[in-house]
Amino acid sequence: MRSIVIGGGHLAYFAVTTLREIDSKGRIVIIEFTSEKIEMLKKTFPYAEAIQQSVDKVEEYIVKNRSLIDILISATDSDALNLRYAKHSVRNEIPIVIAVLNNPLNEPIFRRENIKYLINPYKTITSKVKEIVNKFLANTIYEFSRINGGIYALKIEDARILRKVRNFILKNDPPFFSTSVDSRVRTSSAENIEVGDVVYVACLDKDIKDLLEKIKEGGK
Amino acid sequence: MTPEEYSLMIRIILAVLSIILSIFLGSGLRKIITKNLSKFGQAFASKFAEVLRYFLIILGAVIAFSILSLDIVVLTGVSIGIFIFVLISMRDIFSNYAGEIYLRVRRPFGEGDFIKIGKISGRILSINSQDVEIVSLEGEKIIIPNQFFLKHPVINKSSTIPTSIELKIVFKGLELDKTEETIMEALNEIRPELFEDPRIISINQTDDRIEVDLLLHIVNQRKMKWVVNKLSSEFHKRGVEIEIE
Repeated sequence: MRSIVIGGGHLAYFAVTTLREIDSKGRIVIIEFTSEKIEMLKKTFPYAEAIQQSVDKVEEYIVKNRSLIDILISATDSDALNLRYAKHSVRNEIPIVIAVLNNPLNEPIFRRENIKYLINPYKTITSKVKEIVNKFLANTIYEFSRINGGIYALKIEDARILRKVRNFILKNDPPFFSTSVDSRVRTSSAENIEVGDVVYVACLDKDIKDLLEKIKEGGK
Repeated sequence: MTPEEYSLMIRIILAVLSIILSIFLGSGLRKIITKNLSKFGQAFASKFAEVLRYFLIILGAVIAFSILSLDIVVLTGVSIGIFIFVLISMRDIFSNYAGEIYLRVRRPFGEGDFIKIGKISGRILSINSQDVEIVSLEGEKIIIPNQFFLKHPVINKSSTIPTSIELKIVFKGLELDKTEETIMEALNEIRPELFEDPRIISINQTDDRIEVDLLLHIVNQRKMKWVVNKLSSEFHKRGVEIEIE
């Protein structure tokens, strides 16, 4: 497939190597703005085609090749440019448009502009810190890109939360497992979950939000 | 004040109250509906709530007129007549709105999905109040009225991205043992534009014709025209004449 990666920095590096891994016989085109980086890109990615374009000519390139481009990843070092190219690509009906964020605080702006596939490389910092320190009520381990769901960790701090989580599992029957305080993995049975465990559950985000609401509300 | 004047004043007050109540209820209902239906899209929820609000206001106005009028039966008859006339004359529009409700609530597909409905295949560009815009394999923009989705089964192929496309190539005057090799050479030229390796499904020989069925996987359906042209030119370069179906 024909993939276009805009940008020649470290974000683009990971995008290009992943695309190569996905489709080793596919065509990868990297669009970069500076001649120095173009030379470096040609050496780093001999299998890819590196094209130098001025910032304002990228849109023209997308329009010219819109019937051939399968995937476009906007991964420059500027969120303003990433948003601009991603929006332009969506308007030109490129089937898969992915934007990579430089500043996680810009995520809502991209969401508002209807950019469906957005990669926030910093998102793992929050979940990793929570996981390592092991202090949280709920921790988003992974969010799926194609559906509104993910893998979530829930800390069973007391009997009330245990009851709520057990009920949730029995009602929704999601795939899950739990780990004990000493990091042993327990069998996947709601009855085996104990206070102090961390339960890892894969489900829709609306379901986990409902569960957290119920936990916050208190009561039985 | 005569009893008739007193009765008229009471009726006027009740009629005004009826309109005020319908406006008040309409506004309240709009907020509740917008909040509860926002999961189906903010624009859709606002529009639905607005339609209900106007419906309540009109209902309030009809009730007010009924209160004021001496002949309620005639007024009700006229109202029902107008309602039926509007319903019949705008049945397609209402049907399309019903189609939108179905598309928003049931969500058989979303923007960007590749679907097949009837004989039409394409990628969804936008879902609107009255229609759905899709772009076909040939790159044509097709507008499908929403009511069409209420009457026809939809195949959503989005989960099978890339799209698998079968091509039939007919060779004339080519030897069977050389056919596969020639095809693979030509396919290698277009491989970088495909999602994965193309496959030969079958090769059949009848008289001097060899029919080959190919399976190609592409992400951007508009690329199909380019793929067909490229394949034709690759075979032409090798001195092989073909027909692609």
